[in-house]
Amino acid sequence: MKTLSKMKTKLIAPLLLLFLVSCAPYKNIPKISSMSDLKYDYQVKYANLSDNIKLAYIDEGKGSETIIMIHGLGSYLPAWKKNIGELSKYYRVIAVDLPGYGKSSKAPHSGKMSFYAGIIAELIQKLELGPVNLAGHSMGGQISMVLALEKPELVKRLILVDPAGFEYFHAGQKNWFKEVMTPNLVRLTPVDAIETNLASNFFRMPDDARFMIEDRIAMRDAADFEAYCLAVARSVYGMVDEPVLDKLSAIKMPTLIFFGENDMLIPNRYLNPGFTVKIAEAGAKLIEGSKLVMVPKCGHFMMFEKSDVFNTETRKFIN
Amino acid sequence: MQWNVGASAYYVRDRGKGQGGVSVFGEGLGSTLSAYNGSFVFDIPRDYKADIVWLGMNFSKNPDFWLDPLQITGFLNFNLGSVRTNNDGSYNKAADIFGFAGNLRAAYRYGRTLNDNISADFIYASGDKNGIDDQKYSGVITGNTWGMPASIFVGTGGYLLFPHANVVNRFTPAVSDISNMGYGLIGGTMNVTRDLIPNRMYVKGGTAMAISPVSPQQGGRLLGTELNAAISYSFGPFMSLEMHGAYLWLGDFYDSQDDAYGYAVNGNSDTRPVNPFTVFIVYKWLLF
Repeated sequence: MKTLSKMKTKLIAPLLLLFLVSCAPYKNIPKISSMSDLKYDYQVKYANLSDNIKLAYIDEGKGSETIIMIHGLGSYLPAWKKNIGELSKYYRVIAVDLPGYGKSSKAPHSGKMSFYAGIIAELIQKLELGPVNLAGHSMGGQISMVLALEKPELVKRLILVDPAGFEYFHAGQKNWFKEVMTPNLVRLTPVDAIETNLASNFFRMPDDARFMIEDRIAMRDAADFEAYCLAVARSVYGMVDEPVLDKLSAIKMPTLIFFGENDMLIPNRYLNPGFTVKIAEAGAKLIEGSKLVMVPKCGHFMMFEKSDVFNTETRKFIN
Repeated sequence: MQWNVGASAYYVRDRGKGQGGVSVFGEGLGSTLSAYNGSFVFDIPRDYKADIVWLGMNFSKNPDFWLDPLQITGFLNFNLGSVRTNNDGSYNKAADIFGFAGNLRAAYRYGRTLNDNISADFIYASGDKNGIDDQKYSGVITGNTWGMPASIFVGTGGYLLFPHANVVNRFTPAVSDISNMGYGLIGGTMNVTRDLIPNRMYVKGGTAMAISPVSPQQGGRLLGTELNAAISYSFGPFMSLEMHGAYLWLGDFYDSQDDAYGYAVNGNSDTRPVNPFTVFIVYKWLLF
């Protein structure tokens, strides 16, 4: 046993050292008591809308054209941070936190696409904006399409970024979404899965997108986090319950559509595996006169991962 | 991108005298079970006492393969201890044990999906050139010695040289235990996978090669070289139809009939066994 003792001494020490030096990731993320404590790069304003909804938004730049940016599922307005600065040089840019998300109020709501579209319509009217350019990412794209269909007079142009709503789901698949996406699933998502979920939005996750992971981790301590989880789950129900695929041909305003060629969320990789370009082309074909831009080496978060392409093409489109 | 580092420690206090286990062969250091699962057979009487410790560490970078295109995983594990046998009522040293194994796997996701990747996997396991004649065993001991399917080198992409996870009986390949019967192992695999239809249909090609640090009597060091391929089509979530094929060129290691480590290296064949191949179709459906 002498040999054993000697070996133990030689081996245990370096192993313990290795264990101790291994860092706990994200240990320095500051705790927040409310999602209002999240740090945004722009001054946040609030609009008091009907049903006591307090909508957080940023309003940057000036110009004859206004762009309203609507984020996707589980996201928030900083998702547009690489577009707001550039586009606000030429246009008035308004980016919103949808009700239940970010710094907006968290009272429970239906999560329906028509509910969110109504909120945007109310904001347009409250700020007396007139017809605007609507830019929607993912779920925000579906909300934009619903608003364009319900109140076309408020929408001058549509800019859709990897929009939800182009993909067909049958009844069984819709039920699967509803059964899987519960508030508890959102609430109990562990750090590893938060990382993976965010990273799967990109072809190659850029370092400057890590703030989304850190913010999502920090949110878990916020008092209004459970309300956010409910909003996310209900938003999924809203997306599957209010499909727009069979109504796309009714969209008549100029429409610019972006898709990352390597979007790993559209089509759904479990339910409808296949090529993104097929979904994108089929959807674009239904919107008369729309322009489709397929962006190579780019994932679902196109406006962030290839912000230069988004900003340039958007300027060309509006001008 | 952070590294994940873990440490592990296991201890076995074996007073079972070779009895018990899941088979009629019993289990433990001198058990015949090892002839079936590829671990080292200690040439000792059944009445023995063994104390063995495993100290290990493992590491990984980007294990989910999403945060970065590069994934690295690996481990380093040492086994050390002693075995004593009963000689007229007192237990005297039969052998000191000290062996180690290390593994490094790197993969690069070159394309869109997790299946668009190229990977290389390397493993080293120390061996012993003279059994316990010198009262030392410098090879690796795994859970296989006690009938526990631990430390099975699956997930490498090999089918015939190393165990494959699709095969229920994982003791059919040339090297089914990383100790390689006590001779040790230097092995590696390389695989390229590509999604022809994202998340629906993929093809895979791979190769595996291994040599033994120690040659058996009348045998060489080359264990073998394998080429393999697979194609898979997914019909829906967790439902796929797959076809796999592999061919293994056995090396001169298997020219040996050496049975000094408990059983003949090549199954007691007068000549090197024929090169094995496999082709199989599998329909997978995970219900939950």
